[in-house]
Amino acid sequence: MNAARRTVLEALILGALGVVVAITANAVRASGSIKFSKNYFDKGTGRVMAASLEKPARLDHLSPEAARGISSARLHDSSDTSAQATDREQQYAYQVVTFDQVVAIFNDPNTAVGGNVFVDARNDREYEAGHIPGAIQADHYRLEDYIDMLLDHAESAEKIIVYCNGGNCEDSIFLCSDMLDFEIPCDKLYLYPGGWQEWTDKGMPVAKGRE
Amino acid sequence: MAASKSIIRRADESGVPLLLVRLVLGGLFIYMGAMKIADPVDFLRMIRAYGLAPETPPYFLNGTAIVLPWLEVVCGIALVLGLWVRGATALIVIMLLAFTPVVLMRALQIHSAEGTPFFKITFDCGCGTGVEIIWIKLCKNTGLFLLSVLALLSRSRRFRLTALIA
Repeated sequence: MNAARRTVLEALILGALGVVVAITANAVRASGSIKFSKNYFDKGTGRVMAASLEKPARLDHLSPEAARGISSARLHDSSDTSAQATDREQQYAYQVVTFDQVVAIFNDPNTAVGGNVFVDARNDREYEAGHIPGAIQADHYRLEDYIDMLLDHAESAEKIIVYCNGGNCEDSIFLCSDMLDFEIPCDKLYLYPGGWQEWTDKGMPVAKGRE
Repeated sequence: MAASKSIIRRADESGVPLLLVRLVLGGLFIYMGAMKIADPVDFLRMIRAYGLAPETPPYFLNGTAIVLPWLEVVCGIALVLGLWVRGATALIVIMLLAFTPVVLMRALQIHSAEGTPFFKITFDCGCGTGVEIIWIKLCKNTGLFLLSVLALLSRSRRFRLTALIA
């Protein structure tokens, strides 16, 4: 057998061995395995659009305290022009909450009793390093570890505010899509695009470790 | 010229240069593969960021994230042990040729989109070595490519597990 043919044969054997080992290791690993057929980057846009045709998205069922906070925030937030609001609506299929709205919901007494729930879509390391006080964690990529707790909270919650790192982070959007898969109503879901970065930049309270 | 050829050939026949190349390449690929295996989801996100594979259907993207790190480890082990050295090196060359231009293209995209000077661009390329200064990463990959070519050209069969078994 000549050298080139032998090299190709060796490469094929090693490649096949790599595939077999990889598939086996992925199947038996305790956590963090990748599901071969799952689209981890589904934003659920089509489903949200379909839902919004049936029932337009809204942000008008806050408790009186939160509603006052939001109206006050809207009045004083001169930078939030209608053009920017339109941009946000086009960029995100889900209902979007601004920083001031998030603060209003955070301070809403209803939040302390589980009426509104903050969901942190980041991974264990990031969540334990710091998160919005009271937020539960639901890592989109390891949803099987969190889904029971998430569904428990979602059932009783009026609003579910989902965030990740902010900036280019899309994990909160993917998590919203996951929640649609579990039939959590779209009009309960609120995306906070500013996320963790904006929350900490503005000096808001932070909780560390597990809650 | 003939004398220098003779020196190179004699050095190659000693098996030491190939052994060193195998240990460096093999060790690095075992390390980089293991880092990716430790957090496959993170690696999945990294390769998605390059936008090379379609997100739907998800099989190609997920399959790459599952298989590639283990392929690196298998090739690395083969090189360290001296089993199917040419085949393992050929696979490493293919991986380097596939991914190094992709890293370069992403750096150029960042350069043109954000105006960051090329030599100051840093990001986690998903290579298993964390956030790196990209021009240094590209130089390292070029070095690994040259080492791989050396391993492919070597005629030595010493210090190999196959030589011990035979």
